[in-house]
Amino acid sequence: MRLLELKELRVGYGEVDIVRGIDLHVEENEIVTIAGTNGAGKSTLVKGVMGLAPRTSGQMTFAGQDLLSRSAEDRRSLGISYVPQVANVFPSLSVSENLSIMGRGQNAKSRMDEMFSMFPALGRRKRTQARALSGGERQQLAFARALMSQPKLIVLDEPTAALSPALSTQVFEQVKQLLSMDVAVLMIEQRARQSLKISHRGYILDSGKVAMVGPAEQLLADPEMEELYLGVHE
Amino acid sequence: MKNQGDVSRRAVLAGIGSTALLTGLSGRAQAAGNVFRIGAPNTITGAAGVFGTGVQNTIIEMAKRLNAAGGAGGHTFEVFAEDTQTLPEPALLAARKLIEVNEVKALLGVYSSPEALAIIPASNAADVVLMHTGAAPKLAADNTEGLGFQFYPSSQSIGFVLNQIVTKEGYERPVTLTLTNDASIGNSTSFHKYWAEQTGSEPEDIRYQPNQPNYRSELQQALLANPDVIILNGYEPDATIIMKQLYELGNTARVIAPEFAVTTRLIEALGPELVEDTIVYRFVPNSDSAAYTLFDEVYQAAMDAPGSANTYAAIAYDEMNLVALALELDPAISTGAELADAIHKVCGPDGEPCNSFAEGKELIAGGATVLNYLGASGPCDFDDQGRTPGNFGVSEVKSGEYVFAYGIVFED
Amino acid sequence: MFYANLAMSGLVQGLLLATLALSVSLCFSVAKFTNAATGDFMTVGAYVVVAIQAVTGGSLMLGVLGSCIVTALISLLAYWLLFRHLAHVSPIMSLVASVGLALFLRSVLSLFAGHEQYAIDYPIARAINFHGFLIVPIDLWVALASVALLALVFAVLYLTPIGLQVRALADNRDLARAAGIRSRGVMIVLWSLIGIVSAVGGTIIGIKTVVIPDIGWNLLLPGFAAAILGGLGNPLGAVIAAILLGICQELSTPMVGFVYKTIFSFAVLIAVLIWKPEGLFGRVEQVR
Ligand SMILES: Nc1ncnc2c1ncn2[C@@H]1O[C@H](COP(=O)(O)OP(=O)(O)OP(=O)(O)O)[C@@H](O)[C@H]1O
Ligand SMILES: [Mg+2]
Repeated sequence: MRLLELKELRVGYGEVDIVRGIDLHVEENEIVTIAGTNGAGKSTLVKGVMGLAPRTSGQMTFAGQDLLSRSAEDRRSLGISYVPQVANVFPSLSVSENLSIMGRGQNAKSRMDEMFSMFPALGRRKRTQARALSGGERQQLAFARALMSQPKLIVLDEPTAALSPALSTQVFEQVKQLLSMDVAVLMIEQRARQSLKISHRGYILDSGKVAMVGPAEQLLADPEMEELYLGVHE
Repeated sequence: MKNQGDVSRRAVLAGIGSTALLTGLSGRAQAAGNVFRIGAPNTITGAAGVFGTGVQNTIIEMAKRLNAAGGAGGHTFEVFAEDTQTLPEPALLAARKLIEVNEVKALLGVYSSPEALAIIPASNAADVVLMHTGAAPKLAADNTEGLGFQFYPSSQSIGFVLNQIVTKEGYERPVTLTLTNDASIGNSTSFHKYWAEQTGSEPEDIRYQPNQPNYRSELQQALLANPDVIILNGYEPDATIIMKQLYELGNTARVIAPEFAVTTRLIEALGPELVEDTIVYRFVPNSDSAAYTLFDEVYQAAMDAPGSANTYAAIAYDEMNLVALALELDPAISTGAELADAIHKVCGPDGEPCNSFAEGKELIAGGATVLNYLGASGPCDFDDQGRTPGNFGVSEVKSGEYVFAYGIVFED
Repeated sequence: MFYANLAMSGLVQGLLLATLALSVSLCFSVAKFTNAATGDFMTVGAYVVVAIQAVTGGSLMLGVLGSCIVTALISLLAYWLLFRHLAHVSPIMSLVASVGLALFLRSVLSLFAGHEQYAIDYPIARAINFHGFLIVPIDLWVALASVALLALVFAVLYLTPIGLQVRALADNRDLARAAGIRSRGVMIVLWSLIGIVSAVGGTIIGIKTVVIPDIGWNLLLPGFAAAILGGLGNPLGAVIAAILLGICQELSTPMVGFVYKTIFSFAVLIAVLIWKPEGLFGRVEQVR
């Protein structure tokens, strides 16, 4: 079933549209990578999806329900979690507060314990302020926070951007594991090759438009793709 | 509420804001000949709100009476009234408006040193006479054009009075608490000079800033000198805080303060016990004089209260008389400088004594060219710097009331 | 003992400033603008106490409680009618609006109550003398009230779910929205707290001084100084900085004199800003 569906989506800040008409969808239990050059509008697209951009138009549905007419605050209860590119945790809140703020209701406590067993490093630092965590721990907290509300879709904006190659590999492992928890992932990545390897499909953005789209293996094999967007290093 | 202000009066005044109050005689005034415009920027509200309305109404009442009696030197008076809120900036704004819009030639009844200091550069520049009750030494220095007339005794005379009180009461270890403004510093400095001349010792002087929430450190320093009397030179708000905190810190020394600091409102706010035995000095009018009797009648008509309620109204009464006498003496007056010159000719101390405008008018008709007006507030003998001697009354606060003790006459 | 008394004087001064600094800091951390009307909210709080005492015949307790309610309502009204509409534009607009609000509040007070001074009624008592160390009973109450107020604010912020949301919104607005936190509820809590802090702070200022339309405004600058010193947007830092500032200021008087004591505190502020621009207890937020 289609979870997220965007049609002719345009997102902008001031006068000009940064995202200029994008069609995109994410199926249930699917990992989708968005790649593209710096400034292509990837983060802006995701902000549009999360309802955090000043101006968004076109069509946007989630599990059949219209999203455009809903406020950013409604996304969580619909089942979308967001891990932004920067500032992805609440720095002055402790680790457990970062989690408890996402989970409401009776099973929040048990959900939190699940998170601590999934990310044992966090379990050891429950009362630490998030600002005092290491980069890797902080990324784990961002994940755990996003998972607290038992979402159907997690939107990740460059989860490995600030991390070492070793930690990045670990993050990609964790993303892969999300599938077993019945969570779909829409992930922006600069490390597109690695990201596509664990994804089902991918979109390549250029200047606010979709430049290429297709199954992940196909994109990885595409020579044009190789030259323009994946680079020869890595 | 712990405030003796009359709410309805305030509400009414606030309602009309700063619009000018005309005397209602302008029609007749124009018909009678030259109109002499007078500005009355007075303390209708603010720290000295208790005095301002009486001052303003006295000026208006005097204009009405002088006009009814045919004016002065062919002029009739038109009064433009403003509220200064007892604050320098609004006072200056009011004065500017009076000078520029209403084209007044004299500003009367200006109350405090800060107000007068704010106004005097503007009134000097516009060639307008300024009559005020400030006491700051800087007011004499700023009186560069000779247009300023200071009806309240100078800081120098206040120092004299303070020294008289301390000596008379037999105190030996005075300490001064001085607000950091020109008038208060002037008072303390003058007292120190007199005290040093007399005893050869210099008392401790603690300077304090206005608008502080807490004067404990200052007071602790003052009490460290183990004073038997504390001389407070400040105003009502800081005096209220200081009197309270002095009591809290266990002070038993007597306090000497001016009437405009230890006001009835202060006494009401703190309760009689805290203020008991405080020595309060005030500038007092010449209440035995013929002029005072006349003033009392005018004040009754203007305010429905005895003239003794408001010393500053007696001053305003004298101010109006001096302006009228000057115009009578020299009907051709058209500038502020000419008016100031003529005022010096009618105020004394030389010349034929007179107690009222009517008396002066007769003397002038009889050929007098120099008069000595003897006012309700005092002798009104202005020197070159625009200063006049004055009389002081000393009271003690007993059970929340001022009880008159004795008078002091300044003699340099 | 001389210095102990000075320190005591500074502590009271500091606690008084702390309420103002706390209010500035709360507003800055959550609503993201510098509220120049903070001092005038306090003035309003003090006047409400005076009015309630006049009506009820002098109960200070009733006055403070009533003032908490009334001032919180006025503070909420300011949010609802003014700051709510400016939340999406530059914070400079909110700052400008708050300056306007400050002037407006002061003129309304002057219009209805005049410039004459009022007093908050409380039992004035002599200091208790412990071998030369003087404790003024009302200072004790002032200290207790300040501590109770600070405890209340920090309890709301740190022990309640809505407090958690307030802090989350203060940290990261977008992330908080994505977490389903509605800013309206948080803002209602924030402005109520600001109102309550202003009411208690205003009462304390009114008790220590006299109630005139300028009392709050006069303290705004030292309050700002403390808030900046504490690291803007760090309420706990603001409180600690205010107390330190008060104590340092009074302890400095034997060296710098009474006339320059306020200047001294600003000198400290400038020195700290040069040496540690994020404030004593601030931190430069990581942007990655
Ligand atoms: N808040 C904003 N206001 C105005 N313009 C913005 C804003 N944020 C981003 N932009 C502009 O939008 C364009 C796209 O930015 P965006 O962050 O979406 O790029 P990106 O593809 O995520 O790049 P990167 O790979 O560097 O993260 C850029 O030109 C940027 O300057
Ligand atoms: Mg980006």
